[in-house]
Amino acid sequence: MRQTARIAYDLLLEAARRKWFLGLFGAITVILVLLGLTLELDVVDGAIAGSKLFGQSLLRDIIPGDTALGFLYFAVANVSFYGGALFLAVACGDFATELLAPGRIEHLLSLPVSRAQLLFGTWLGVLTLAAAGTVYGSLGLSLLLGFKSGLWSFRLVEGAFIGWVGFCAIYSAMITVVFFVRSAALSSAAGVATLIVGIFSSNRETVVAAIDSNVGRWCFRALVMPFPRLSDLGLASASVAMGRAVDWHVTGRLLVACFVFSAGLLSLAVWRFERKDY
Amino acid sequence: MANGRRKWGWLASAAALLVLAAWLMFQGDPPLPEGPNRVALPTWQRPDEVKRVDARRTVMVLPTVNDAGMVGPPPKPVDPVMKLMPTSVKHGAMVAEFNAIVNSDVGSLMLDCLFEGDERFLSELRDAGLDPATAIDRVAFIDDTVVVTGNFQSGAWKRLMPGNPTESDYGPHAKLYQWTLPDGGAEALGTWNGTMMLTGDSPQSVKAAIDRLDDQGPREPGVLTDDQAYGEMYGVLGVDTLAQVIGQNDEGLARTFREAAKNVRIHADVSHDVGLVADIDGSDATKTEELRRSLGGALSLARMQAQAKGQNDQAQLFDAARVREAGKGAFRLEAGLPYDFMKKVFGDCVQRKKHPPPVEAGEGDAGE
Repeated sequence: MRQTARIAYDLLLEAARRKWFLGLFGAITVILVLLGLTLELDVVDGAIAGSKLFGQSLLRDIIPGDTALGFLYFAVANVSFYGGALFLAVACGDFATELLAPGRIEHLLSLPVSRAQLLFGTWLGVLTLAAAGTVYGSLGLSLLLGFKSGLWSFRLVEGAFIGWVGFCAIYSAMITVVFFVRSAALSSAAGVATLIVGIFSSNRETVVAAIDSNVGRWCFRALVMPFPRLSDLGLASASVAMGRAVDWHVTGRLLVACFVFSAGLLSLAVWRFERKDY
Repeated sequence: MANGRRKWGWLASAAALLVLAAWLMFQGDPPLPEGPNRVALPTWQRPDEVKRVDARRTVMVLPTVNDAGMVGPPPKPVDPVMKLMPTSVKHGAMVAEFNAIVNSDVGSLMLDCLFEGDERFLSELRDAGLDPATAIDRVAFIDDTVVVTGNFQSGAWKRLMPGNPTESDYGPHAKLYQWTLPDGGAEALGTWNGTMMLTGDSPQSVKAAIDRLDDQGPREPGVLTDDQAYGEMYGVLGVDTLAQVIGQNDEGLARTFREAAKNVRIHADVSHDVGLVADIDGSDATKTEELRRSLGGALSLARMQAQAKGQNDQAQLFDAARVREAGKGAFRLEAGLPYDFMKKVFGDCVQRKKHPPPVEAGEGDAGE
């Protein structure tokens, strides 16, 4: 476990050296500052009586502040879930490929670290990075809106956690692909594909209804079956952020399923890694 | 050998975990999160309401004659209740579609609440031909005059009148019933055409209302017109009347309301849920905006207070209330009471009547 944590820590140091943190946190900071400067909220007795973004009126109705913020959090959580997953899928594509770079992998394998520890450490490092970005973005926005409106809510951070679990599954697919084909582009493509199949998985019955042949339906069901139901998780994430009631029994099961899916793919990756000669 | 077995173990565990993941993913769909309750709001005249208005145009009006003696085109017949509407009101003019309300989902609950434990009163009404579910069509309050429309041809209802009223004809279509009060005052009730009953704070006000009905000459449009007859309750409320109601809870808001509001038009839909819309026109755009913000703030405050007291039902109602902008110097207040909420309220009312709380010793005396 200690070795796995050390690998994860090394990956974070590597990311810091490559100014990766600067890029991620810089982008989030720019968005937060821009929002902070351009968003105007006029609060009367806890109700949003007026709001402007870039000088344009946002809401014409006077509605309770936490309801208005709930709508905003719902939108932000949705955008962050899909946008964040896409962004991280593209941005994190080369971490695992770097691990397997000629010269580096030989050096790492000469250390007293097992191959499984190397793989899990890389996975853990990237997900720590993603978690840091998620917490920074969601906490920053919560604080910003709290200062602007005087209404404090940290549900966006809770919702973001669900989004992060979704990304765990996506990144597991990305890292697994790398052990079959060492390509950052293909790894990112696998992440995007997992996101898309995850959306289909959530809406499988709607898609199945549109397929004519029984064989086609069977194949489609078999294909999407193990994939995480990312749309359902996205909706749960946004609902938590908004403050809507969520069925935690079902959502909890989907979250556990995401981790099980990740563990399954990581096992496959370890199997492949163990069979390769460097 | 052991190393090789371990390698294949990873593959086996991968397969097992993916099968487990698939099983977990497909254990039923998560329920869609519940959205806010959407209550139908009366914001326009629906086709069946247009038909209803047309069917009520039964009173003929003479065409206008210009200074040159030319007779204008024949005007449309008018609804007698609308004909009673004055050009301005002191307290308000509200019309309730009584029959539609009583026969709606909410109406039946309301009747249960009103008449629980008082079946005798209801049966007396029915014996007198005033069955609330069938005999009465509309009830209107026009300042101090109360108007009831329906079928009053049988005359059986006269048994409900107090004392021995005198009966006299008044005008071509009306009958007037008058009686004296123990304090020496007089009261009156009029019927018009057997389809309308009118009463007021004095015999003069009843006569004045009947005169308006019988007057066939051209008239100014009243405060309420046919195109505003939609929903199950509609009308105009006097600014002072509403300010007094608001003032019971918030004197500052009542003052702002008096200064800013010029005209308040109400529409309520009680067909299933209860949807309420109040259109408020202001006298001054700045003051109206101030009023709009104050009302929005008051609603938000009331919601927070309800939440603090753990009154979640009430908090949800305030949450669903909206103060919408409706052009310069005007805004709209919308509120909705879902059917389930109304059912609970009226259900509690029935229970209270069935099992009244025990009266504390001495309380009855104090009350007397």
